[in-house]
Amino acid sequence: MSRLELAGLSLTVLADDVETELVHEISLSVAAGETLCIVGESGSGKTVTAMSIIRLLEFVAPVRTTGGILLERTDIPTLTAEEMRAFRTGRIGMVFQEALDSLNPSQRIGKQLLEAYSPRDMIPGALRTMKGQQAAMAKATSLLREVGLPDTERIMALYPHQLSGGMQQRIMIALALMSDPILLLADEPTTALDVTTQAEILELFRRLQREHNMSCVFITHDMGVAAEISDRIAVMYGGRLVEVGTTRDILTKPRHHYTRALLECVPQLGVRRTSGLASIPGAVPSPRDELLGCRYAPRCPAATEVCTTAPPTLAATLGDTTFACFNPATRPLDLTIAVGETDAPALVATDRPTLTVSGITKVFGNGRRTPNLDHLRKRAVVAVRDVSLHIAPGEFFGLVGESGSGKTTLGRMIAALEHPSAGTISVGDHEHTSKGVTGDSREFRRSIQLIFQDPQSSLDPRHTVARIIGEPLRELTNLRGAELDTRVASLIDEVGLPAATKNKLPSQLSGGQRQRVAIARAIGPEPRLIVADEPTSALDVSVQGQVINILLELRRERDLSFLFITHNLSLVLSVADRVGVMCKGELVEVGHPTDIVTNSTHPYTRQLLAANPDLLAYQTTNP
Amino acid sequence: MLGIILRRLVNLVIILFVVGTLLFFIIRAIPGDPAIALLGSTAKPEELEALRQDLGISGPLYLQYLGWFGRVLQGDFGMSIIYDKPVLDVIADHIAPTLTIAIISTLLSFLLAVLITVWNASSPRNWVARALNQLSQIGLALPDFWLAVLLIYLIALNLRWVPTSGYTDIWVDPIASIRTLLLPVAVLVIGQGASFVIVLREGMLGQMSQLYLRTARVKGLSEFAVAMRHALPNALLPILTIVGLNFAGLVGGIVILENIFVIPGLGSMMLGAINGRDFLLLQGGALFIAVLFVTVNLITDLTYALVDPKVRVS
Repeated sequence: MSRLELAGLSLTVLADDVETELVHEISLSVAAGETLCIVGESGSGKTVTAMSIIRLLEFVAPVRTTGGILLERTDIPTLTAEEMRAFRTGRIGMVFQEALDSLNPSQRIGKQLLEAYSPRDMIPGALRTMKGQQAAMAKATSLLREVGLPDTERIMALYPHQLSGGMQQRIMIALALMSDPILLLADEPTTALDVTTQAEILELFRRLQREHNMSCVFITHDMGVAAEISDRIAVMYGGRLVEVGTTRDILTKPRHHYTRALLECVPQLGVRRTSGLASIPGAVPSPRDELLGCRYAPRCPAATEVCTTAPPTLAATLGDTTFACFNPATRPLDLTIAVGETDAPALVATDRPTLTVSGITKVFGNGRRTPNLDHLRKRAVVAVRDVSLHIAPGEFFGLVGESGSGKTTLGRMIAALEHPSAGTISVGDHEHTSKGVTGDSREFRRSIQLIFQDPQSSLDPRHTVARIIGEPLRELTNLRGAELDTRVASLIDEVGLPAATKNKLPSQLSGGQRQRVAIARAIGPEPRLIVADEPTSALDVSVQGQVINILLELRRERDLSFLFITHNLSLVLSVADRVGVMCKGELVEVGHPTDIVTNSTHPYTRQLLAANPDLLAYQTTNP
Repeated sequence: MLGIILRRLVNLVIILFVVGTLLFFIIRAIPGDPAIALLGSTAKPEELEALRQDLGISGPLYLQYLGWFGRVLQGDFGMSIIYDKPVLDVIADHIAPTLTIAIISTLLSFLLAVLITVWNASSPRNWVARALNQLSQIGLALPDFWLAVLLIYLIALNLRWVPTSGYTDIWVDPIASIRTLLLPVAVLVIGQGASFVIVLREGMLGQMSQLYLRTARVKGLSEFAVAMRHALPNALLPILTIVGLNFAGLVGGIVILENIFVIPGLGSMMLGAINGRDFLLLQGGALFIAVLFVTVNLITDLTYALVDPKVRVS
């Protein structure tokens, strides 16, 4: 008997008098003590599915739910709002991606934990009594210990912003368990965390779920995370369920082409793909797009005529796997797509590297004392400590590190957005020191361009694509008028965007398209080095490959060097020529990716490698 | 914390010095000779000069300025001409009515605004709550002098529920005091309350989309508890500055209302001082109001430090 049962669940949201179906006829079940991962990219409907189980959507938008959501025989959509309020607590706990934002910034942790205490047998209002408070306090204390925060009294007296990201997520987990739920919903709970923290939190999830015998619906976009945490996996695409099965079957013998493609897109540790990553062409369809057939058909390599005329239904096959596909894949997943690929010839050491960084240090907060006012003295923080490196022409240099490691600050100093406190950065004849840029600073800017993580906020929402790409050209080159327009058009073409894109606004583009615009803007002034700070981490895996491939191609064609800053170890190890590892402001190791994977001696690098969710290892050990 | 207070106190002294200096010269730029205003245009030049000496307004301007400032530093604001009393005593006589009205109306406006916004946030479909919310737009648009005259006409003259004007100290005769305070306070609460509602609603709306409210709902709290316990404390932070400035503004600036309701407050005093060319009273009064503004601002900032954990624990 399954504990949670979704029976033909459809969700329609009403916005601006238009009804949009976000999720279409999802049927799933989760047994007691089982973890089901819902995997999908943005727009797949995985988050709204979870939100509809706990009925949180109705607070933010007018939604209509059809079909059944049964939790231990209670049909959730039929409850009144008031009944749902009572039902929700004590049965369903939820953990969100944004732990800090999910906690009240002006309340102490303890108070927020106690407020969540309302076990099913509690009399309403009992929390206000002495006994109720004591029971809640005891529960909170024991849960904080369970989630690995034994210093309970101190923690309860703190405010959310005083905790680290990992601790905040532990608090959220404790909060979700305050009323002993039978179902735990987790929406990307580890996505915002560093790999080492992620590994700890995943471990915590597994342990708690076992000990409390909870059913768990775990939403993630990361196949590696799904491999570590789930018993079964449901793959969603464009609001439809496309494939469900045991973790092992889904990860090693996927039948649906989307699942296959998704798995092939994930960069694998130890698999070099210097000629390019796998990606899925095109983009996820919008929920408003009317498609007669399979929603994946426009991107599917195996699509036939029937795929575009009728929607496939979920059908069971041998074993436990169900999938919705007319032409299911039969050949086993090719795990070694790029293994054996010959590495690009080792870069010839040149006398004139594009970039030379020697001994740079950045200290934030000057440590200056204001007379008599001790409290105003800023604590000096060393963000980057004595880092030296060089990047050769045409080299793709990957820089990895966790949050706070100083990798972004280093990138900003190299791009002269920030002056170093000590040391020198040289690009060609230009030098950048604590005194600023020597010589023509425009020339310096021309030789180094930037691509940022979030193309949504780094592009001016009121400027057209042509204006965005044209701006640095106007500032840094002598191109004007028709010449400028021609150049902009050719740049748009070069990053693989249709010519009509030039009159669009960033809001009219998808995430991947926006990042292409950012790339076009960066290569416009013909720089010699591009500093790319997490350019793909806001993108879906299927699109990440597209963007990386453009960067790799640009490098080949233009002999462009890259400083590629990321927290994604698998990604950078599969494409970069050399990788530098940063830890607490220091560059602790630099080496060829293969050497890093196989022979790294630095304990921090080993720790990172161990914490990295390894899909390939799962697939090869569970054939 | 102590450091913040110290730093602000230093600022306060600097501000007062600048304000005092500006005030001194601006007031001297007002045409008209106080001595003539006092003794009449038929007075003899010797008598006028003697009075100017008494008032500290004879001789070169910079000497007058230095003399005045020197005395102010010693706590001597001089004598008021029209009241024939020390300036500080005159201010003390007039502060009570103004302060009473300002405190009562600010508190009431604040409470009203909190009630309306929390009600609106927790039951967004309730039409009474929505109507109150909409009325605040009108409340903001009505000029206070017009509202005052209207209320006097309707409630004092037609219905005869309360007197049209006057003031009784609240500690002397509370009932009579409330009767006289009712109209001026009502006028202020309508205007102030409306502006608080608008600012607070903006803040509440901003908080209502915050993710921690989703957490509060997962806990199974009622919409009222979600709004009151979680959204409100965070929405209140930005409104504190506005409440503080509004309060200080009331103390210094309800001249028109004090006139209409014949309330012997600071506004009436200042108006009298301007008409009577009572320079010392004017300077003293203005300086007092400036002190009040700066102090209220300081208190608001300290309240922030108390209420906002991000300021307090850093």
